[in-house]
Amino acid sequence: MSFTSLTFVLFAIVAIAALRFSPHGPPKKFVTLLLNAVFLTSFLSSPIEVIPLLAFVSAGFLAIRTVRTIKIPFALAIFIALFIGAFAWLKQYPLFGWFGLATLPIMVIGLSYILFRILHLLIDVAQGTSECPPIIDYFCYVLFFLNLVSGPIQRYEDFASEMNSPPVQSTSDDIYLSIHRIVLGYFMIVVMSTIATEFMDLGRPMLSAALVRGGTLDVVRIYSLLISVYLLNIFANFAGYMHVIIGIGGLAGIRVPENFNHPLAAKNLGDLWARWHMTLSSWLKTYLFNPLLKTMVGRWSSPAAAPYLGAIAFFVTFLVVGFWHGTTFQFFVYGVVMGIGITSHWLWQHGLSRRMGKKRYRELCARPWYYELSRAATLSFFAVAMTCIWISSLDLSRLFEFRNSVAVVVSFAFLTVAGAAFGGVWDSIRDRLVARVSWLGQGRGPLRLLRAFEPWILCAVAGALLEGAVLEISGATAASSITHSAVTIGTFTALFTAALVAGGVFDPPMKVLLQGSPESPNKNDALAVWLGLRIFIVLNFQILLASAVPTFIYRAF
Amino acid sequence: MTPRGGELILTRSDALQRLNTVFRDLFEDDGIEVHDKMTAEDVDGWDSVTHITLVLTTEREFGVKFSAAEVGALKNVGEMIDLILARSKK
Amino acid sequence: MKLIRLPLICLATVLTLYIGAVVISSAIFGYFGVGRALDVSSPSTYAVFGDTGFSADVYNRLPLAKPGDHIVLIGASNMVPIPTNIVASRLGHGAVSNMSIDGSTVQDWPRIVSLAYEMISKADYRHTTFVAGVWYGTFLSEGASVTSPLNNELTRFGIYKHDRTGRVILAIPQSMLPIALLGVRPFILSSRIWESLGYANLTVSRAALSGSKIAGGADVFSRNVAVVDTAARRAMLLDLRNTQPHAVANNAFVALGDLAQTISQSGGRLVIVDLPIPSWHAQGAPAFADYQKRKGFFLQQILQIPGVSYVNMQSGFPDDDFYDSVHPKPIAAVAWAKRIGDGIRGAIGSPD
Repeated sequence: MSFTSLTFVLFAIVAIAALRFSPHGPPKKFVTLLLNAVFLTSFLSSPIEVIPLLAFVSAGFLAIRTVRTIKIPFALAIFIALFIGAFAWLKQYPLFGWFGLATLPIMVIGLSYILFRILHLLIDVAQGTSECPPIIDYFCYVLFFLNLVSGPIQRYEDFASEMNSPPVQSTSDDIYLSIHRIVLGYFMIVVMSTIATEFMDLGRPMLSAALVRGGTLDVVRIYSLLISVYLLNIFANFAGYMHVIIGIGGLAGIRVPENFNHPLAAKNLGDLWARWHMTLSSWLKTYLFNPLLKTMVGRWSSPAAAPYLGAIAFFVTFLVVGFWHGTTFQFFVYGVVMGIGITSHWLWQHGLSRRMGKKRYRELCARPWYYELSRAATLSFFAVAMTCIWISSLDLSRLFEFRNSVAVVVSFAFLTVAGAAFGGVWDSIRDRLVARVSWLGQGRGPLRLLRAFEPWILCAVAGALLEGAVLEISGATAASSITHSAVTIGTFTALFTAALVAGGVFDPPMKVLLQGSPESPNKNDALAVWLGLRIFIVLNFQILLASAVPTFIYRAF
Repeated sequence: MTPRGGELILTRSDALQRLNTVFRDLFEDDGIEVHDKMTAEDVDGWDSVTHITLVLTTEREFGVKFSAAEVGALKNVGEMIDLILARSKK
Repeated sequence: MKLIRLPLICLATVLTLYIGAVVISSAIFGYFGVGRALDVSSPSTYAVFGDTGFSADVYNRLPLAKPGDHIVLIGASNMVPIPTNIVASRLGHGAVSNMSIDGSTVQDWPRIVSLAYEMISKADYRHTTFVAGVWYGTFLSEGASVTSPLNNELTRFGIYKHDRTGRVILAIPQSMLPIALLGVRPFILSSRIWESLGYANLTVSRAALSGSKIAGGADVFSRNVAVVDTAARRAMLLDLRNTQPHAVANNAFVALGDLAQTISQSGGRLVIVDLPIPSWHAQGAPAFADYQKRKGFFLQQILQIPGVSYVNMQSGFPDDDFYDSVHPKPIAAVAWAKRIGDGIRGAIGSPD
């Protein structure tokens, strides 16, 4: 079922109630199993489609059960290879494709995540860290409906403790936070991602045309815009979805691990991957990077070699990231580009700290200009790498032509410099805004109210100026009368402010204004009404944009 | 190590001391004093790669083997010591 | 349980805001006067529903539920500007609606008629008269032209849905349709606002991507003073000759015949009004000659169906009435409306 459909909302409400009110232990597991089944079934058009998936999951259980007791040498390695092979076959990776599955309708939703869950259990059980879980727990975990489609890769132990131990007492602040996250998540998906997708749809044909016959400057302009918008698009879509999932989990009394931690504030590429899709990088670090590096260092141990072995391990890990994300050649390119990026970052970091000494290197990193440039370069590089995901294969091959490659490099440089400048300005303004927020809501009576409305006024003015300038520069208002332009700008500002309200930007001052005294028993009631207003605005956007809301993230893996 | 019925039992302070030597050799810094709450933030040069070298050296020093999950879950020196002690008993 | 208090308050707020939105949007609808009649020609309808006929035809059907006589004008873009109040003034009584859709062909009109029938009460079926404004252009296509955008509009808010075969059908019981049309009003207004902004933002995005300024759009109000000079006429005729079929489509007359049968069987009436085109257009378009030749036989057949009548408006209107090759200037549309009103009264007598 689509996450923006009414069916899903009803399902979520039922799931929340069922999970919250079922006692921990076997009843909760039974309820979870039922919910998983219902959720999984909603993606099927016929029962046959799910058989390969269920077979894969069941085989996983058998493997985990027998990996310690089976008397085959290298049982773990063989099992891992078998599962990866079966995964590649089911997902139709190029070399495995011709073993004949191409024409059959198979449901492979979430298989990439399921593979990682199975491998994690397999390795842990084989190495003695965990016991093989009971079969009910296993099926609850591997097919858990919140994590199935695109969800975080949760460790089995954490999931099991959610099922087996009584839930932590939730306060009304927790409830508020969970609902807030759900609203924020839907806002990011329904509004930000939809608008970004429409922009991408507009720009892609223009890029195709420019790659063939445009000047380098044309390609730079269009390409820079498209990759920046796509970065925001995928962030809004993926992180928004995570907010929804974690919010629903919070309401249901189940902790779901975070997958994002302010990735747009990342200091460098390594830091980015520690903030973006965190459960993936954590899994790969534990089960691929560490063992791989350990094997290599164990074999060729010399203090000088270690950093270069590290570079190799990083490259291989990110190559796997590329493969894991998709089956086509473009994803291989994505992996290679990401691998080159991470390896370069690693060698740069290592080399520089060796040359300058560790202390001076740290001081350098703390300098604002270095931080801004580094961050902008990281995000620009990330944006360039992600071209592989949205671009058509024909255009990708065109990008490798000399003139277009130059354009890509220039775009990267331009975005780095522009991004650093913008970041610097933003960081300095933001600190002042944050200081102002605490000033809001102070004072008495009408002054307090006036100060509370300051964010709106600021936003309205900023939005109006921005839209007016943009409309004027682009010539869109050239033919319209003054009244028409004024009405357009006014309407845009109102919508812009409504969107910011829905996105929770005004929550801090509203919290200060509405909460009254902390001791009153119903201090959250006014906030609940505010939250209701936000929900109403997001619902309006959802109905408005219903046909345009993209679901690409949900079906990608 | 305290002999007890013929077996040599590893105590926490022993482990801490031996681990300290490992750290000092690996990070080429005689000023390091490991303690339970020490993390990668506290030592220059302790990054993802040297972490693995550290783990490997530790395994060899104490004659134990850590699993992937255990290595992945290590948060500080204290947990490392706990793991060494747990593994040594087996 | 105390924890449920917060979600319940959220829910209560959402419901209250929604009901408030319905009330406010109904007030706005009332201010614009769109609740009085379903009239795609009126500027109020344009303001609230946009300039395609689809939105108004789908969402502004509540006036059709009023008991009594109904006169429903249907047609293509040259029928759209016909003001219903003028037609009504010539008829004396009866509610006149205009459900014409720009770009529609005769094969589209059964769908519009069915939309009308969904709201007109069954008792009033025999008091309903459909007025089809034909010209040769509505007979050129082999099939329906506006099904797709009409279906998009129908399914937009979930009131209609696609069934297994892909047809668009009501997703709710027909008795709930009036409530649904009422409840959807806030979203009509917000989508209207969104569209008007969308144009501005689309322009901006295009400008950013292409690096050049975009020229502004044309002005609708200049139509009243337009003059179609000889050069323009020649250009339009050349364009017609290159793009249009030179003969009427085979099944187009049949489609109108089927529609007449449907209406007749429900007890209603159909008045076919043959709309004028400029003389230079009539002389220069091969398809028009074909239409004139073939319609005689077809009319003979169709007029035998009970309740069907024909009004020929092809003469009596100067070329100056048109601002291009087909469409009446807003002033001329008033004259046409009077003629149509007289024609209806002549064809069916006083509505009973």
